[in-house]
Amino acid sequence: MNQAKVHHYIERYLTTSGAQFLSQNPNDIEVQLTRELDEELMNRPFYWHYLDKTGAAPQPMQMRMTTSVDSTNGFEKVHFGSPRLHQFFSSALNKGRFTRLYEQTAPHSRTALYPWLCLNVRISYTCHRRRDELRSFGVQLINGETVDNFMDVLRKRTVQSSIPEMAFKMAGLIQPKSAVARIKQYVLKELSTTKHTWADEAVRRMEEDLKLLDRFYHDQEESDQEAYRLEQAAIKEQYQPAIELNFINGGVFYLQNS
Amino acid sequence: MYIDIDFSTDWEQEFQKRLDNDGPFASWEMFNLAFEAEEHRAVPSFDGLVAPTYLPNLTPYEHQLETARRVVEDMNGKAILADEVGLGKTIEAGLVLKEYMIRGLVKKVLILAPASLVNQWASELNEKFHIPAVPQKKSYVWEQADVVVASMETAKRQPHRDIVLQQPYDIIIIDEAHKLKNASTKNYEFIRQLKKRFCLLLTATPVQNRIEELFHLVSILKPGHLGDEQSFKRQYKDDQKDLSNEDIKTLVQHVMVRNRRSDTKIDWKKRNVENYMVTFTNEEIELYEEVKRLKDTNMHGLSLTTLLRETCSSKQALGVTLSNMLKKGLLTEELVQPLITKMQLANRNAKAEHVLKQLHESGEKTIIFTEYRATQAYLQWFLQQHGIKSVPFRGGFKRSKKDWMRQLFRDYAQVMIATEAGGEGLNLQFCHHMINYDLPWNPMRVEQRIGRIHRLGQEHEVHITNYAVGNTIEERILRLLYEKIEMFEGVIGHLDDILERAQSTKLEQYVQDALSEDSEVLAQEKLQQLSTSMKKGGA
Repeated sequence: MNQAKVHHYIERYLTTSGAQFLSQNPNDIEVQLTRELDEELMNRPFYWHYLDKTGAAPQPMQMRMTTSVDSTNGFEKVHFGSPRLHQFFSSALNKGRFTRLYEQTAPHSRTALYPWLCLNVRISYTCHRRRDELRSFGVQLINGETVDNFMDVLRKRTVQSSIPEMAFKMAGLIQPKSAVARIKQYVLKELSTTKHTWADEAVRRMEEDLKLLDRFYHDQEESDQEAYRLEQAAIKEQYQPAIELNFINGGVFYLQNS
Repeated sequence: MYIDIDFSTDWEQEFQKRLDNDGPFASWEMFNLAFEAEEHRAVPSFDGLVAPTYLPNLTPYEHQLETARRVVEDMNGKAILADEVGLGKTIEAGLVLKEYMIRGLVKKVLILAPASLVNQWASELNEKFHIPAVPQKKSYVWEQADVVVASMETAKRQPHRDIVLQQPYDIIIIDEAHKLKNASTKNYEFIRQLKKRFCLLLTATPVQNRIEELFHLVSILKPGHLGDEQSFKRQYKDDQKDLSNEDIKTLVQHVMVRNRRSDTKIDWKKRNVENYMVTFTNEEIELYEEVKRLKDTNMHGLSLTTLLRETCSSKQALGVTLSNMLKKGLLTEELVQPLITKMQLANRNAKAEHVLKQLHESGEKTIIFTEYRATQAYLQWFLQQHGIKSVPFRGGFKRSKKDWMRQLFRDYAQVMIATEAGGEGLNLQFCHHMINYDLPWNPMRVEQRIGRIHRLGQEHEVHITNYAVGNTIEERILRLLYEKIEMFEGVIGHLDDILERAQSTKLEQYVQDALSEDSEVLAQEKLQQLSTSMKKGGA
């Protein structure tokens, strides 16, 4: 993520969160935070507690950041990996988990909108190492059609929070939660039919280490049994292959038939 | 299936609730920003390092990146980081730690460092790596902070001990891990009991005296990797003549990374090493001979060796030990009296005089290392008499005093006189001359001394002078040193020119020399000492 992308991301995040921009250029961002943003980002619970007790007028803070690497203006430097950006990431992930949106339609036309369930999933393969895979699924809630890379489809459309005038929703036949269950099944089936060489490798290393451990303790006394068990458990924990499915976000989208 | 599969289900429940309540729902922009955040955070591959992309302000050296990669990919996060002093082991450990934290494999972290380095570790991790490390000051820190830096002394003591042992850690990092070389210590036992998945041991000196020490370090990481203790000892005993055992070497390389200065692509300043053989004054020779005569009393060989070494350093150092021995009743007035007479006659110190000469000629900022506090004080006084300003440095100084002395040395005094304990955690890149006024018995401690000035950031060639008095025990130390280094190199790879190559002799030669050169009992004592120290592994 280069600095221009970091800059763009922060601008969008702050804009959509309701912060008021005091100045803006390709390097620096100066904003007046809302109370909600201040409480979420600035970590000063005592101030807000004090305010609630005394009833004084809230004074949310301002935030000054720069994405220029050689900036000397004293603004907080933000880059990929800096705590501030990751705080924005976490905040967006928290606030953007659920949605229901409608595609814009041509004005004054009676257009049918079809319901889709979108579910974005992170599949993490972990052992002593880790890899993530992001998947985006869409299920049409009338005919059950299932689409991969659904975010790509959505990013090409223009959607809004309320249903456009004259447009009308088609009633879904499939419950959103059934669609979620269907995606789960689909993913599980896919995972069980894939060959997981990474897991085989992890198990191989685990067994190797366990064998060494046995060799180390082979003629040790009873008193070392506890140590042996401790080491054994640690090795298993270190290598145990696991797949973690995490639902990033999702929602119902009403889209025109393409 | 042998793979665990976990689902988080809380999303579904919350989603259903929002549908039932008709909201609240995120805007498209926030929804998209959330997915983008995850796209940026996701780790796309098992291989390689992602940590550097998170640390644009850190420019690690190539050997540091390569080390971190090897530890994560090839060593499964269990490794001894044994770079030579001054190559940035902390940076390597930080990279590995960051990598695991980004990949979500590590959350609970324990870092054990010498007390004087606890704050430095915490601030480096925070500033360079954005890792929220907290120095352990209050007992609640253990549970509240995920990344804790503490000293071994604190961690192993109650009430901390129980908390630390009960807590499973994802990774443990131990700085100056050579302190764990002895398996029968409380520290070692404590470390073995810790619950850990990943583990990094940092030391510039994985082997200080015996190869067996390496066995104990490796057993913390990977018990059984070098076999069990009995068979290891047996094998090592058999191989004591050929210390460069190939099997051990290969096995060790699977758990240890050791970068040498010359392996790195950094433009290292040259290291010039010179030995200077001092000739005692006649009075000093007489004193030395008088001390040697103590061997006819039933004095312990080790005590005599100590006294002889001290005589080579300064009569002040000798005097302190003599008076201590008198107090403890180890010596009688009768025996000491002739020594005192000789000490009074020896009113010149040939070694100190030559040091003075060297300092005058070079005019350079110089750090002088000595083993003895009394010599340190004497040298300071002696140099002062001849118009050379110096500052003392000792491990026992408080942190603030250490910083103050370092600053005085940098801005004001030509000379710093340090005792052994001054070694760890002292950076003196602004100085490039070093005098080893006397040499410690352990060659790796010399390496640590040199590491104070010959490190990243040094802009000049480095000059090291090793002083030894001819025809004395010091000359032999110089030789013994080489033997030890040879052993070290056999397993781990070559060392820098700590001392001049030309002086290096093989074990057999050393034995021969000691026997032929000087038939006195002392030489035999020395030999015996050497051989027992080599055999201890098998005894």
